[in-house]
Amino acid sequence: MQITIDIESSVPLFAQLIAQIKQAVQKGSKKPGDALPSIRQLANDLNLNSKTVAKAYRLLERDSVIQTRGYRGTYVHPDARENSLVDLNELVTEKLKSAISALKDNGATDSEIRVAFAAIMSSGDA
Amino acid sequence: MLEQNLFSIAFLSQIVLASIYIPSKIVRRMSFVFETYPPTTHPLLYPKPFDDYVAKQRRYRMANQIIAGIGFLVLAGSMFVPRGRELMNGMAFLFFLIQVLPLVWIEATVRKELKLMRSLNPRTTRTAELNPRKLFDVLTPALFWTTVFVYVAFWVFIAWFRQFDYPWFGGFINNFIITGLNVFFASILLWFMYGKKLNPHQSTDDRMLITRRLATVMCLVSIAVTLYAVITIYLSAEDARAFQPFARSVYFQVVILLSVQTYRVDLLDFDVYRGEAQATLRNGETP
Repeated sequence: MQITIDIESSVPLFAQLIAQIKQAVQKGSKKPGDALPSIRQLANDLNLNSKTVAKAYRLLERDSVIQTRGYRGTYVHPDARENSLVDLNELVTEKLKSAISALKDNGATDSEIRVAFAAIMSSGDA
Repeated sequence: MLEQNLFSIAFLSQIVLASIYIPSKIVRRMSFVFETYPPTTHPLLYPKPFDDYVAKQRRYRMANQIIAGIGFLVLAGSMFVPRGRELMNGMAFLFFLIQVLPLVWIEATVRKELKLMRSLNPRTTRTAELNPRKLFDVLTPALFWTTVFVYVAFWVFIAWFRQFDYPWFGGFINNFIITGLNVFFASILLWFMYGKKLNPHQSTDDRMLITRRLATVMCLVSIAVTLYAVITIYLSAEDARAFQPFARSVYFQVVILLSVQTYRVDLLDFDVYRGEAQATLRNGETP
């Protein structure tokens, strides 16, 4: 199974990596429990900064598509197939749309919503 | 007298092997690539003008011919110069270093070419395998464990030999030297396995083929170095140091033969070098 990235694409490199690894899981090329290359190996093979690959792996682990087992390496998560279908960005956008729509129905203005959102994010209450 | 004759034969073999036979194989290989994969069909293989490569091939061939000529002169002269053969014994190692210089030069040239290839690479896409590379993907367990066994056996040999209390014996210093060499070989292998991809066009299969060959060579050279250390110590203990120049020359030849063991060039994927011509440097230009 090969992955290909385009360094001149408008899509960030880490996002390309995430998309292709998720695609590999969905197609069945990578099954639960399969090992993935180390960050160093993948970064050197693609001639990328290791931080780019590390970011992609971090986000994939957050989404439970992969799991790191310390020095033993990185593996495809047991529930990777289902989890790879969830797009967190889409979920965030959908939830926010729904919440903002409900607030506007209750009479809140755009600026009130923005101020409250900024205050919540900076206070860390959410 | 026997040891001198043996050494003369070994030295003659060293000249023929390292300065005539192996260089001629390398030159034929270069010619095969130039003829089969020319710049008109495989422009990405030649970041510099084609004449540069032909000139380098010619220079490499000439350098080896000159070195071979020097070797024959030294060998012939040792027959007639007083104490010439004793002098030649000491020169064997120096001559070996001179013999490998053209190979070192070729290797340095290849590194520069690959750097140039990377800087002139017109492709914006990069590809990688989504599988981890492991040691036993490039090395057979049998060879790996044989190498480990020889290394451990050397420790046992040195520990046993220490009981004889020879004043010239370096003891465990020998082990540290062998260990240092093995660490060096392992570092090279790890760098090839996990390091940066030097050739931007190289396919994954070709990289694995070359890495497998390198891993095998590293193990065999490690075994050869260890066995040579044992032979040298044994010859010293048996008061047969006169045979050491002969053993040294044979050892150099074994190492050279092992080191230049390579893969068949027609097995490599040269289609990766097809495509639109990159910006080729003109003579004297820098990227």
